[in-house]
Amino acid sequence: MNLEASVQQLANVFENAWNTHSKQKRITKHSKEWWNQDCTDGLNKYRESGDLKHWKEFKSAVRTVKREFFDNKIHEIALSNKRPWDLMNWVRKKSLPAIESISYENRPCNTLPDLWNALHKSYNSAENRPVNTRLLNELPQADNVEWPPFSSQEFRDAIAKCSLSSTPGLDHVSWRHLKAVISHNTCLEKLVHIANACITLEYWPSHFKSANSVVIPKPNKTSHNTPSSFWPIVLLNTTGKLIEKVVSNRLQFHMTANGFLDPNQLGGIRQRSTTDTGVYLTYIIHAGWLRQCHTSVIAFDIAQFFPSLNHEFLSICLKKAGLNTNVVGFFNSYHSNCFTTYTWNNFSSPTFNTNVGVGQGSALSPILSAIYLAPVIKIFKKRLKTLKENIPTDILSFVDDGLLISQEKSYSLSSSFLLCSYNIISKILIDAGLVMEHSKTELFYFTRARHSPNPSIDLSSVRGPVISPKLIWRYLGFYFDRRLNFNYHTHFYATKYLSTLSTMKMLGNSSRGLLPIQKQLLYRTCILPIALYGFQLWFFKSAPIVKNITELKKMQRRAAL
Amino acid sequence: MGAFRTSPSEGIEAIAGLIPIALHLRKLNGRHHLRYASIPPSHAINSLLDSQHAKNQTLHKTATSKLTMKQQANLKSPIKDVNEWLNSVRNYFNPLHPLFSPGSQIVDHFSSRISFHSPSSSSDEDLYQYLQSLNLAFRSSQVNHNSAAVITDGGVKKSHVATAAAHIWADNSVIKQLHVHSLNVTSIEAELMAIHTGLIPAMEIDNIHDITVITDSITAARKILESKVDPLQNMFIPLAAAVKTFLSKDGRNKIHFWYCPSRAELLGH
Repeated sequence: MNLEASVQQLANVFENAWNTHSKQKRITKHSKEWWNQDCTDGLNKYRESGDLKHWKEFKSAVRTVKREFFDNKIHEIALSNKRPWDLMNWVRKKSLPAIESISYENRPCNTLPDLWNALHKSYNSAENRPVNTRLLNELPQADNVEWPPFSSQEFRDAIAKCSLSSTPGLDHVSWRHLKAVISHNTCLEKLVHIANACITLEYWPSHFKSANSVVIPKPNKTSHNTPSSFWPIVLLNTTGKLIEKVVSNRLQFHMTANGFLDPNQLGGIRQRSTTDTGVYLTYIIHAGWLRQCHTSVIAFDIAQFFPSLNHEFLSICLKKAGLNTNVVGFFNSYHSNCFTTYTWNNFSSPTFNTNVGVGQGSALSPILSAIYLAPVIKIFKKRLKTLKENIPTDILSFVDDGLLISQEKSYSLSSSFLLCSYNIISKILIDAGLVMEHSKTELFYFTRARHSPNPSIDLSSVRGPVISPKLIWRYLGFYFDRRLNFNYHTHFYATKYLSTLSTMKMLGNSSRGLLPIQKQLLYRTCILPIALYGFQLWFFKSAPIVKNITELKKMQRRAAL
Repeated sequence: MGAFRTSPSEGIEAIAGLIPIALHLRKLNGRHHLRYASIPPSHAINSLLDSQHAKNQTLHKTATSKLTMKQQANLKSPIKDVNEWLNSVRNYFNPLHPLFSPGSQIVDHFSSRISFHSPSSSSDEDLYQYLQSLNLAFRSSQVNHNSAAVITDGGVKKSHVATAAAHIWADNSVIKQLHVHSLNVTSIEAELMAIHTGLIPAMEIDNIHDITVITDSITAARKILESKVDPLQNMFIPLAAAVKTFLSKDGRNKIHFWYCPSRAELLGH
């Protein structure tokens, strides 16, 4: 095919450039950036004589070189680049490399082939999982979406937002290179032609498909001994990624405009955030208390969400979303015959075929997952209405975290409503080829009463455990307590960065290093936004905020001292 | 900072240049509330707001307007504050306007036929060169029969009265002189209004394919093509729509925006 050939030619050009201009560098754990000739001389002198005096001289030479090097670096980052927040990496907690052995299906993976097999199987566990596409017949067809040819301006806008430091894909072309290429109008026009051809021919070239999945340990996990405690992050070729970004920008706009996405879906969509989810939930709880109702919620989690999206189901969803046949055909080609290699530290695996899921790290994955979930939520709402009994349950969804909300006066009634809707949603999800992780399901009650019961719910009807509510519930990074005073939440976030604050002292003192004004900037850009995360939920008129404010004041004082 | 353990917090904060935390929260909270004015209609938060802010979305069963008066008085919630803040917002936002749709924006189709000119730096030399080329552009627009120049200016006086004026020049003579007065507007609104009053009649004149707009606020001119959610959205959208029809009417149609520095007379050029 002509398109395939031209893209392959482009890939060859990049590869040739890489082969001719790249140099092999040997970096060991002993190589240091600051090492210079003085240090080598000093070391040689000591090695010849073996004298303690020469050793001391060598050490002092190293110290001066090191100090000079890092002072220059701080000066360069803070004053020349005007980006003092890049220095925050120096003061973070040093994470230890994962050295536990991975076990898969109760067997340890001792050889590399075993490991690749375990990774591939767990990230593609949804392969050959049945889906019921008849489910989507209930859904109304959304308005048609106009899809005019791409323009060069869209590409310019998309690349302007790309970070220069992100890791390139297999062809080693980073955003910096691509930005230089795109600044020439003829190159840009050629790229726009390729993108337009992809849509009209309904074909996604194989060069853009070749991916490399880097396996990264998920942060804040106590043990990393199963493949599911790692993230497979896909590194794609940058040129393809740029086209994906432009397509995703269009999908974001049109899916919100034609109302295909459900209002209660709050993740992966522009202008919808975790804070909105939190504000929505707190409002409902407060309003429920006015009607003398307590609020009970069940939070459920979808296991391995991104890697288990079914392509057949997704393509019907896209059709229902009002996209024309060309675009749907493009997505079919986009998903078929994907290959990936896995990379773990310095080892890389042979290529594996992936027939399921969207890659985490591709620009299209948030919006595609939102399109995948929209029918699930809409059908859930519809099923609730068709039931004989009126079940007033709300649903909220943030990517793979779902939430069922029920407001009743009696605990038994609300738990039976929740159980019923939990059954319904788990059935719909199974039809959509997704599996709920029942062990992660959480239950929580919001009540203002002093001695209120805290009953558990038995999920054995869906082969789940008995879940009992805790006193603090973590959802989307908010720590909810039963009376919504958020004392624990503010305490957690205010103390989270105390150690970072004290380590920031090493970036500068009164004689050298960062200036006080830069340190202030560092505090305001790197620490304050995180410490104040979710303040919208508790900071409002006539709210009891004294305790929370005191907590934050303490933190700010520590920072200023 | 290196202060003592017993130094008063307020003083340290003042010297360190930090806003007291309560005031900082109040500032951020106000911005957060105002953000809800610009969300698209299909946002979940809309279903909780008062009916006049809900952007025609079906209200949630616990929405503020569905509560009784007593309940509304007792309600304590962030959404209640949002409602109060939104009452003071007069601007109209629509992030999903068809003109903003990626792929159909003005810049997508006609970026080669619209140009912006402004001096490369504020140094006297650059300014002099720029003014030369501006003179040249204006003269050439008067020589050519198919082109016109629109000279616009807008300003706000201390009495809060804003004036927007525009002159349309073709064949070395003024064809039209237009002006509009308004109350309680910002200077950028006045500039935008001036471009609006001048450009729209100029585009309606027959046989004009090339329009040179001379304005002293290039930011206002750029806003027309930016296609972003903006407080001035309902002012520039009719203008942007008119520009779009003008450009799509004929392949020869072009618009040039020139910045005219107000300092020019002082320099005596």
